Amino acid sequence: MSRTVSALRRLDPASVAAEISTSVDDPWTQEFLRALDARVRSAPLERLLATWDLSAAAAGRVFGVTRQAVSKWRGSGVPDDRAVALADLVAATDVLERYVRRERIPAVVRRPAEVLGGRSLLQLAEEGRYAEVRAGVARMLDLRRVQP
Amino acid sequence: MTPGPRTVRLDDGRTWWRVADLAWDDPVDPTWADRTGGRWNTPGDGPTLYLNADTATARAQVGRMLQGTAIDPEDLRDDAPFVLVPVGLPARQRVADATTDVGLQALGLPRTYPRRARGGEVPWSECRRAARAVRAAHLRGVLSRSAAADDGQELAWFPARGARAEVTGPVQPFGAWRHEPAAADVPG
Repeated sequence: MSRTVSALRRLDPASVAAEISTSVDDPWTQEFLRALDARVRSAPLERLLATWDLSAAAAGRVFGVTRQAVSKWRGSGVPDDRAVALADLVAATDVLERYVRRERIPAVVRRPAEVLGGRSLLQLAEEGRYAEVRAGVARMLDLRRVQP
Repeated sequence: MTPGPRTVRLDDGRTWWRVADLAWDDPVDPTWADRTGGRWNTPGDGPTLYLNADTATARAQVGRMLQGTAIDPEDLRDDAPFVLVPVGLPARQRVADATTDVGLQALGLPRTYPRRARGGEVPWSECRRAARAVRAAHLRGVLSRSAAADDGQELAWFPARGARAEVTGPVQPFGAWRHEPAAADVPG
């Protein structure tokens, strides 16, 4: 972390926000907020791509867009109309990361499973069945199914 | 008409094992199974706690959970939040025997349990029907052959009003029990 950011983090966040908000029309402030927002919005996408080992083209198939659109999202954040889809996939990823070795996750999401109707998690995602991906991961790791 | 259940008395002070997820509020809560149902209880039948007779059977539950999923047991992290909990029950518990041919027959279940004679697993509906007779006989559960481990045994414990299972020792993290101990590690 740079010294500037370290110095900033020693200040009270609420006080800093109050001070910055007084100059919200200032171009620097606007650019800072836009960049921060883009970083925050694109972080879950980056995590999904890294954890599932997805290329931009593969992610494009998951979200039904071109790989160029995915590349754009990596800089500017995921648009609102894909927010729910991304949230479902990130929630599934959260659970996988808690239980499954990180290096095995790319194989796990590509492995067809009986409990997923013979599909893989990645196939379900490519079919736009994002909520089923989330529910499927939770179900696969639910001990209560065998020992309530 | 089938005869009444054949009963066995559980050894006082023995340790049972329960596999739990760290996310659960109480690993020995018998009310959860009462809400959801399980192999030996229909929802609403009464509190039920599912336990394993040994650690090998407990280990097999994880494998059974992952059957038909996209996850192989070896894919799991050593610090996955599955823990092994040693559990003690009150003394003088009499339960139905579903481990011997005679006991199974008395419950109206096939001697081939947990499999059917012509293949396939004995369905939960048959176990639940047998378990209703066990409750009607005021027994405290069913000791059965395990459906997860070939030579294992499982207990579905039906606690009396006010009775509680106790955690009797340290909870073991997944990495400590996920694999069969090497012969050199087994005492004796």
